[in-house]
Amino acid sequence: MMEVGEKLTRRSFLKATSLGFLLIPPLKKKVERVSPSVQGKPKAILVDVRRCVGCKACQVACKSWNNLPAEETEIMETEYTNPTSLSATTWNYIRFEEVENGGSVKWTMVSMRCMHCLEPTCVSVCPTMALWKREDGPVLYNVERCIGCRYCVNACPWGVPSFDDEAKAIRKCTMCFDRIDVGLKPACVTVCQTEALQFGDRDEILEKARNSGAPYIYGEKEAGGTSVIYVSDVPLKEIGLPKVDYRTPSAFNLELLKQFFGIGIVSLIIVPVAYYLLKRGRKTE
Amino acid sequence: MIDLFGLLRGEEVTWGILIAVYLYLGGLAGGAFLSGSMAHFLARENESYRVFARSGIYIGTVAIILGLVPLVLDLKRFIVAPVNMIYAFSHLPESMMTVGTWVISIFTVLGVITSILWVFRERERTVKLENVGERIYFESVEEKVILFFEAVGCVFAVATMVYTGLLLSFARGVTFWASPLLPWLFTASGVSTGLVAAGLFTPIIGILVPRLCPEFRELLSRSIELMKVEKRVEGFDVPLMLGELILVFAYLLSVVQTRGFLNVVYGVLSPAFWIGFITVGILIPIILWLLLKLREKPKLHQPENLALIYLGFVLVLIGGFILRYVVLFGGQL
Repeated sequence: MMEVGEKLTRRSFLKATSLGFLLIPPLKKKVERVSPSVQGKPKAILVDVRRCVGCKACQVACKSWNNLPAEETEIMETEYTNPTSLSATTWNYIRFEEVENGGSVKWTMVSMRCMHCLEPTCVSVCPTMALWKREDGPVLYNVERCIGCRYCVNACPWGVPSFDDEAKAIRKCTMCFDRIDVGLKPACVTVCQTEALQFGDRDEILEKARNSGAPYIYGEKEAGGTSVIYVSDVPLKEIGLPKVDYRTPSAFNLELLKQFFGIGIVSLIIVPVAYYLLKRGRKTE
Repeated sequence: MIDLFGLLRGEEVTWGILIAVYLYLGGLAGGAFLSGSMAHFLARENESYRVFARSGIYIGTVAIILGLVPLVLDLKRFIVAPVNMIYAFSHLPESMMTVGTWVISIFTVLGVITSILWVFRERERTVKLENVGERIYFESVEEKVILFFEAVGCVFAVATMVYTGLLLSFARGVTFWASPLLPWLFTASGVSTGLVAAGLFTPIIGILVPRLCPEFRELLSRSIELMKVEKRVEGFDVPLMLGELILVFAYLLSVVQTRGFLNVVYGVLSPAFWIGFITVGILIPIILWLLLKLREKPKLHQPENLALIYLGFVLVLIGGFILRYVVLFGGQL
């Protein structure tokens, strides 16, 4: 079984090149089977925006557990968000937004991170299957298969994967799969003092979200559903979460292809008819 | 705020200028191969069109091979782990990039085979013609073999052009590209640029490699024949350019709510779009075509008219590249 970080040996390369075409289905199966330790049902993280106080402990815990270096950032007088986006060395961050609420302005803090989609677009577009979805939730990456095309960077609706130019690899949140494997919660959830971050089975997390009384739930259906669920008392668009439609990547691609071929078929009818009419018009002149 | 040079190189985007070149050469290659093959199917007994057909096949093959250079240079892990490229064939049919890897690989192989067949076929034919002393056109097995490879190659040439658009459309994170019209726009532009590239390189091949391709040199000396071919190429290209014009505005309207639309239509890329693509790449070539249309017939074969046609071709080629650049960068800025 191919594990994260397994090296491509000369033998496996020769096998791949010699068998070429025929080897593709086995290669595919090999990766799909990867799920080192599935701990029961699919997991999810709940982000309760109402409870977040913006302490950034989750940011620090993520850096600490994953050995991520500090990032040089600019401190701006008008901006508490720091750093201001996800990157190869920042896998989660707290976003500070001033939101208008009933005539007054309210500070809202929200944890931004990989959504660990149920059917991830990054996994769908990756030509080498370097990215894959583990059955219990985390979307993971195998550097030993990656070619550095960065298709995942452009394909993710949340712009999560980042390419690390120094390490020559994609970097993103792993949902602390190595902690989940030994029965621990992700580092960010563990340190959250206000329970703005919670971890559990996705079914239970969704149930909690629905029963939370929050008017806005995000992640239940977006891009076919995600393993990070947000609950909020302010519209999520106002706190920096983009509007993503409910289609899974396969539904999105299929619809696009249908429209593409539809345009082709319509053009095949319209163009010859227009040409014929134009020619007939010229003849009558 | 990035400076113009930074913008040109693509410092702030994921896919920069190298991918723009790759998409451009991919489209051009497909268009040139398709144009060459079509010329061969439709007018294979005409010596001049045979030369044009060969030009299309050769340019298509060279362009698709050249296109691999910027692609490989852009792959950030190619130097670290070049053998990983083999895995790019593995994610069928889900990943559009894998589909493209197969399509381009097969197209490249078909292009190389067809080009080699053409070189040997024409050399053999020239020898035969010299021996017999008269021009004989016959349906030999070799001709059918070339036609077979061209027919199959055409499928992959079209697929390559479509792929350059679908690759972007499937990148869901960039809403500016998520339009079914984009692959059609890139296909129309690919056919247009490929067609004119085949026309432009017909005399250039004759000048660059006269010994290898004596028919090209011979066509150069028959300027009236050459003019006829190039006029026909231009005649085919004008409707394509008009189609591109319709498609580009339809495409922009389909993504009107995106930031990319603002970047391209009003923003930082608007000079490149309005001047580079619309004016230089489409309107001026159409005006040049109209100018030649208005000239009287006896004057038509003058060398300056041929120069005007070639100027139009060069502008179409420039416009085609700017289109890829504008669309690629517009979505990412």
